[in-house]
Amino acid sequence: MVFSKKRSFTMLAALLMVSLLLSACSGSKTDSSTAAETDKASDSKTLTIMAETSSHADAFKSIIPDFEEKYGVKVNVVEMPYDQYQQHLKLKFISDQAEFDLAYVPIGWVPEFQLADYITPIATEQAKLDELELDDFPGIDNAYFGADKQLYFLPYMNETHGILYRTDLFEDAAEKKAFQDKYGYELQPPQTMQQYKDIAEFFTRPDENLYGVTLMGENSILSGFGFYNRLFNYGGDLYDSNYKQQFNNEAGLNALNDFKELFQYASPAAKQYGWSDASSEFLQGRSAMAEMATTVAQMAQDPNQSTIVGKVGFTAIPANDANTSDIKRFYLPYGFVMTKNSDNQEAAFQWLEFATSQEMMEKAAPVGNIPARTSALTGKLASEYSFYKPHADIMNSFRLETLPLIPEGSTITGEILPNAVVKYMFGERSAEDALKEAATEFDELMKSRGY
Amino acid sequence: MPSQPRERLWFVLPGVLIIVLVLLIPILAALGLSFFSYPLQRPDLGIHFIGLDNFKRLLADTTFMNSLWRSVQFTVGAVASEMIVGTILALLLKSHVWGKSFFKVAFMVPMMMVPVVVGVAWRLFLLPDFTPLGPIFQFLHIPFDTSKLLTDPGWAMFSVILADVWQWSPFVMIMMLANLQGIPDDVYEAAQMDGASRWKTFWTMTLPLVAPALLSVAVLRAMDAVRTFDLVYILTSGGPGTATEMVSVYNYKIAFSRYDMGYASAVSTAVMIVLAVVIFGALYMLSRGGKKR
Repeated sequence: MVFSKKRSFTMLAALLMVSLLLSACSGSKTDSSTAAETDKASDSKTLTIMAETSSHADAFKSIIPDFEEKYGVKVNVVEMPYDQYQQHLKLKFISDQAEFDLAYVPIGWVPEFQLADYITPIATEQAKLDELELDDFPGIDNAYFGADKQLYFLPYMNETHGILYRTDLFEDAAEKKAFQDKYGYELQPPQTMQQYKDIAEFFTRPDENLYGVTLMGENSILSGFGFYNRLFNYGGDLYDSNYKQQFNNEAGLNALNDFKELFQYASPAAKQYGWSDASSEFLQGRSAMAEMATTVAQMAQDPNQSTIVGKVGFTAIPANDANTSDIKRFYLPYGFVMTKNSDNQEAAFQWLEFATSQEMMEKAAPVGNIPARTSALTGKLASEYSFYKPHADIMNSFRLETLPLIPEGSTITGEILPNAVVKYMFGERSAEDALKEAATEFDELMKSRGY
Repeated sequence: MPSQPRERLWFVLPGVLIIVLVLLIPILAALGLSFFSYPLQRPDLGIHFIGLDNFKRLLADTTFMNSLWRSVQFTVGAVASEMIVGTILALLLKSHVWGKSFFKVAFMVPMMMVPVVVGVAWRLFLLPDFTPLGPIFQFLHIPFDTSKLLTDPGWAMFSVILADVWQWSPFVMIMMLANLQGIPDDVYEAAQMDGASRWKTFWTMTLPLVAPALLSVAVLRAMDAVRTFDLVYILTSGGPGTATEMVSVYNYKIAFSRYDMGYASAVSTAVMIVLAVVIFGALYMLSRGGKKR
């Protein structure tokens, strides 16, 4: 068949348009993903890792050259924003198009992936498990899943929630005296909820563009955490061992009231704050404290993101009194899972062993990671990163648990309960009605899923 | 020229195929899925036919009803405002004003922006810590607490409508300007000779002549407004509380937070049915209006 020049040009133009259209429709993959797929076709020794765009992903990306040099295996990381990441992973798994070897995920996503057989144990042979030095990971017991309890998840970062506070304000002599005069005790990081409220009240000075505390009121798991920590303080929980809800009670009501009360010492905008708004407020020095996670303590050390470098301390979210040993707190492990369809499982294991070694965790941490290994937390970086010690203390002094490790966990913690929190905070429901509605939704969900 | 009906069918076939592939199959798939239980979080539970259970659940779901009502409030508020603002801008641009071409392009800029960007920009513009409105109101001695704009449930809906009006009034303006330019000048000359005032000319001549176009544009905008998602999601995430949680946001949460795909399909099917009834009603009115003339 012979094409005229004009027709050939038209077809070429059409092809170009189709390619452009297809590339435009291909979602938010980074350049590396395209490269990853191309490379994968041509080179079987390419490891593809899916990850949420985050500082911790940046951290493990920084050690890729070392790994490539040592093992001769190329690593490509496909990143996407948190909002799209979970959906993207699920759709890839369900459509049997999981063309990646490892995924970097929060531990809460693992039960669902394991139950559906999308992922495979990291290792089953004892010799290989020993190579990973698992005893060095606090909470590693939570990483075993399935009826035969296999290791499906290898932690890379453990995050805890706490209170970040401005050491320059807390250590200022004039502030200390004024606080002592007003409240009758010394200004120091809060040890009880009452102290936390007093300090938040003391530093609430809108005229000076300073608020007592940065909180997050967005309808998401972020406002949920504010409620959960207080719920645990009052002896409540999400559900018991029989999956019966434990929040529609006196503890739940007290927790809602406590959380709402604290918003009077936060910026009016805090009721709508998500993660970035809140971290930006604290890092720009517009609040004395922030109820957030360790990641922000890490960001506070970066002069490109923070105006309060070297002026930030970190402490636990207090219980109602100083005794915390039996108070539950969530911690958030992020780590790697291995896809069942991966044809590079040996290289994937090599990466896991390499990236989670103490040496590499210490090397990557300054880029934006909080190491999951105790040895890395207490090692040479401890003096440089002042929040490592309180972070490790939180992990040892509270009854630490992960977010619910059932597939419905994210719906309960990320939607049903935050809905109740914001409905109460904004006056749409009374505390009683908000919790009652949440309990009904919880019961319906669990019943429909066969619990 | 083909004369046989069978030969003519070949010419229609590509168009029909595209409609079937692009339009009908996804709609039928969504409709079909709404009769099933399909918890994406629990692939081990599989997909089960449950008849009309999802729709029964929907009718008893007060959160769905509330979100639908919020969508109606948003759609009526936004589309009515856009029609008024867009028509005023079109009338101004049709008259002899300086810099007409510049303003025509300048007014269209918001329409060219990605809704997510509009959401982020308006969020920064309205969040109490960032908004420049506080000092402006203070300078003008207007006693208004600007922190309410995104944090007070009543004002938050107003803010979302405001952002939508800002982005989409230019669309109404362009459509109306095209219609206004189609009205012959001699109509206005005759009105002028009869001594009609400008207001009377607009009310009794311009408006009736552009009314069918106005209704068409309103229908198009209403369809779009009911489906608005990205702007609301970025600007307020459905908050404060659930004050701006419209049906599109609720549908998203059911699909991608609860991963209840069967129920999510039932929600979108119900919205499609409600929307179809309203739109067909409006189009019927439009065609009846045309026949009367």
